[in-house]
Amino acid sequence: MILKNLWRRKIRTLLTMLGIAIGVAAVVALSAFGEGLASGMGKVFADTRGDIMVTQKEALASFLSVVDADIGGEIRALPGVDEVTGTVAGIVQMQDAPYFIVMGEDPKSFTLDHYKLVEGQPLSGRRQLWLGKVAARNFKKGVGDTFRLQDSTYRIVGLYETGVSLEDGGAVMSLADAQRAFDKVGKVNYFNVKVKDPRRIDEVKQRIETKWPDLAASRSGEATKTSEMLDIYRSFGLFLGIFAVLVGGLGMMNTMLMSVMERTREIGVLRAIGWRRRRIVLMILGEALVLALVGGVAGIALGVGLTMLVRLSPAVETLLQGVFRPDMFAQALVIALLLGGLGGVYPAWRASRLAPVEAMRQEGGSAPSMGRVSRFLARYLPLGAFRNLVRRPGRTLVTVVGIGIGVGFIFALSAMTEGMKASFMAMAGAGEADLMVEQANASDLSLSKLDERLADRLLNQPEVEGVSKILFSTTNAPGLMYFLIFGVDPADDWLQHYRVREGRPVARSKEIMLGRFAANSLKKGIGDEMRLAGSSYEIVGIYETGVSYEDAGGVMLLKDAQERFGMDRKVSLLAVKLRDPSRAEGVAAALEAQYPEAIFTRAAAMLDRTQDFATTTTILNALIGLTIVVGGIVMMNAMLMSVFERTQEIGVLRAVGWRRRRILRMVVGESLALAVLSALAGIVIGVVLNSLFVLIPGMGAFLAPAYTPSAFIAVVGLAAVLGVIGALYPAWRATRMQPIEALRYE
Amino acid sequence: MTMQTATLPAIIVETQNLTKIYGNGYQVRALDGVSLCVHAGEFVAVVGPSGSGKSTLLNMIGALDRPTSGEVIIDGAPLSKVRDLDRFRSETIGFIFQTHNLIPTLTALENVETPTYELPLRGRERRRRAEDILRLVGLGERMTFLPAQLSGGERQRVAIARALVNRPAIVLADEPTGMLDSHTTQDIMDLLTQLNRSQGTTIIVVTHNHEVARATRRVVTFRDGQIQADVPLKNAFDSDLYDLKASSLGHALLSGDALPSDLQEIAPQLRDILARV
Ligand SMILES: Nc1ncnc2c1ncn2[C@@H]1O[C@H](COP(=O)(O)OP(=O)(O)OP(=O)(O)O)[C@@H](O)[C@H]1O
Ligand SMILES: [Mg+2]
Repeated sequence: MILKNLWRRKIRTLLTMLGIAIGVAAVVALSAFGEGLASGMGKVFADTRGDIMVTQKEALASFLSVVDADIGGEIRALPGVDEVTGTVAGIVQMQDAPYFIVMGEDPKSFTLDHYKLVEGQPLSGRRQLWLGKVAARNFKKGVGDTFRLQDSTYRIVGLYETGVSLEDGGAVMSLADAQRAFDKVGKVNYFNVKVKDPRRIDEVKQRIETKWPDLAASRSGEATKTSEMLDIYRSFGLFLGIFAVLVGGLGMMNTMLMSVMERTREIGVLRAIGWRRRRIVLMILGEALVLALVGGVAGIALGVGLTMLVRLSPAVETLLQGVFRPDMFAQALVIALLLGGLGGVYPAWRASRLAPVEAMRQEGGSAPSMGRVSRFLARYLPLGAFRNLVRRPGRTLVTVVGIGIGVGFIFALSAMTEGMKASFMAMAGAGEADLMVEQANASDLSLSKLDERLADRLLNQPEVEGVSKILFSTTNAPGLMYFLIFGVDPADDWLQHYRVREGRPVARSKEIMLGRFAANSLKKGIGDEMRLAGSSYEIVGIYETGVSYEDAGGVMLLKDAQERFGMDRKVSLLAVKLRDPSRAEGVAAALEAQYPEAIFTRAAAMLDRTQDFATTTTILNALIGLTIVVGGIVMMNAMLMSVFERTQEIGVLRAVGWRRRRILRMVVGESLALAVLSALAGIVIGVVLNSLFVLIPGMGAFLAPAYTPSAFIAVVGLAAVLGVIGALYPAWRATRMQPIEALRYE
Repeated sequence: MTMQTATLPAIIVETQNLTKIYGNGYQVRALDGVSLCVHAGEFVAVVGPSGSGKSTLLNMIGALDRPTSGEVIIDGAPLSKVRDLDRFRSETIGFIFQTHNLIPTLTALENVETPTYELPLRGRERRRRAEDILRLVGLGERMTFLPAQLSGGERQRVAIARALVNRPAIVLADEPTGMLDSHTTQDIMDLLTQLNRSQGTTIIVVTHNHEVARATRRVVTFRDGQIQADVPLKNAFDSDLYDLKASSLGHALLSGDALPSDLQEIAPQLRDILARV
């Protein structure tokens, strides 16, 4: 009976299934995205074949840690230690590979066992490297070819595979080469330690941490699991997951609501011939569950497909593995069954509570007497286009919600992206500086290194009026996910960028001022001490800039920061003020030609060229692409369902002589009104959703949605276009039928 | 001969060998080679058992569906050649459905207005026409009601008003009085008769109701998708005869079943007369 019912109403069944499938697809694809972000980053340093990993204490991630290479020998001398090897991990930006990871390993070290050599020979000398299989494919290189990296040429002697896409998209070279290439002579990022007796790992760990208080020793694999960086990625994944469940779940429920509301009349008939309520509700529940199950399975396939599609872009491919875990599928299916069932049962239950006669009089969820709101609207609205919408409040509502969910989904995510861009823009000091200078080929602003003396050389240029030196790095502090440190020269105008609200600006060594958000989260005030990596700083001021990244960080003297982050005589960023700001573009090009080691960007355009941001943008764009596909299908589906229901009505109009064109015009007018209305509702949904996310403790500081007029227009336009297409198809189809066929359409 | 055709009204509805087959796997021959001529101004009843193809015939004439083969000719124009069927439906035909088929979101008045949208009328004129016709069918008090708020008979009357609002030359009514009591039925039939007499509207009405059939001037009987009988009723005597033929007694007479003894004598004459009807 259940299957027969579904089979007999193929189109409705199909559309309902599509609605559920797209919800499930959103859950699957977005969770895979989040999971991929987390594990892609996590796996790189997970399997090192060592027992203990030694890093700088409180380093955000192992590749941001810096340790003296000499310590390796001392660790080796500790009782219980078998072998120690140091690693330099560098990240380079390349064309189409924003995160090209280069690992510098001792060619004789056990850590090399991690790389499965599929072709070629061991590393045996200077300027040789192994290339990951994915990188080899992307760059079209093989054994024997040369490879340019950081202005040096290397010979490819082998190709390897590890199964971790970030690694397979990168390269391995000798430790000595890597130290030279990444300016880490005499230093490593971290050590891997092998112990003699695996049962005594904790003992050795203890010994290392006691001997070097500023080092952190952890069991291999553990280090990355607890890394703060990963937590951030995880939270982002979580954010996506919650988002997906909310949006997908709502979408599914709404589809089912729409589908069952149409059947109020049928339910009235069943009640009239003596069916019990329970039988009716059970029948509809059965149908809903079958739909949810089939739709769910289709949705999983769709989600996997969408993720694959997004990964076609090579930049995204290395970064996002799109990890699918069985529990993700299970979760999506459970949500589909639960919410789909609920969405089906509610209107069935409601319809079964009505007196049968009343239920039979209802057509597709329109109440025989208009509600108060509808009556009110009916009086004041020009009836032509809105009449149908107002008289079928139920159908209008679910359609609005359906389209609104799609719109809200797109709007919320894109506002988050815009917000991040705006934060970066403000942080980059747009307005206060004309040009921003950073190192060429650095993957990340926090990895950019420029020689301090470049500032003086720039000051000698005739167009340049002033240069500010800024060091920018990330660390963590207890209670905060992410703690950004800005090192600024106290004599520099740039210090004014941080508007001090309490206390005074930093002036001496070992002083720090905190952003308002950081101060609140850390529960610290003026005069308190703050410990960072073994040294202690006195808090002298609290500042506000209104930029969440900055307000969640702290400012110290440039000198202190250089020492703290091992960036002697180096800075991350130079902010250049010009005599004539209108010539910024030309000056930037000229300076870039003169100083090839640096990138000069107009402060306003910084975002497009800042490489860490380019990476983020790539990911976010991929996400937005996904969102638009998902949201778009959701919108169109809602409209399709809504107009398919009206086939009969269209048959009547055709029978009384309406032309196709008039009918289509009417449907388009109505659906346009509906789509715009829904888009507005969706925007409200999106804004509310974002406001809720910002409330999540710890995460909110990094989420600052920005609502731009263009996003507003784009999303309303999209809703209008997709809404009209979604309405036109079924209307067009209905007008192509013989009138009598349309009239008989169930 | 020439004089005769000149005085006869023109043929307004003609079907030639009209056949409609439903379904593709299982096949139902709903109409099987029906040829029928209706002159302008005629008032025709179509009767016959359920499933005999009456509605199907009306759908074809009203251009709501396409025949499998054969042709419908309206006013000399074969429908298969008419390019603008919408205009035809709007201006020439008034269709009253077996199930009223009102649009649930529109009030009675708005439902009646729908056909007028394709006419070059002003909004006010449109409304006035619809109001007039609703009053004519006795629904002056129910104009702003939605179909769900109307009784079955009231809905049917709205549907009739909708069919008449464009003053069509041909009214096709599929059991227009199916849900009405005999009094209202009489009113509706008077209305249609009036329309037929004063405006010369051609009316074809499908019915199971003998009273309704008697109000017309010609009865076409269908059986299994074919015309079984086509009887003109010129006067009261004819219509009484028609009633007799349709009754069980008529059946018995024609089929030669056992008759009451007092009728045995005149049975042959009666049978003769009935056979001609
Ligand atoms: N859409 C359809 N598909 C298949 N068969 C159909 C369809 N419409 C009608 N039929 C069949 O065609 C035959 C004639 O149907 P029609 O509706 O013309 O009968 P009718 O004479 O109007 O009967 P009633 O007096 O019950 O209304 C019936 O046997 C019916 O089953
Ligand atoms: Mg019929």
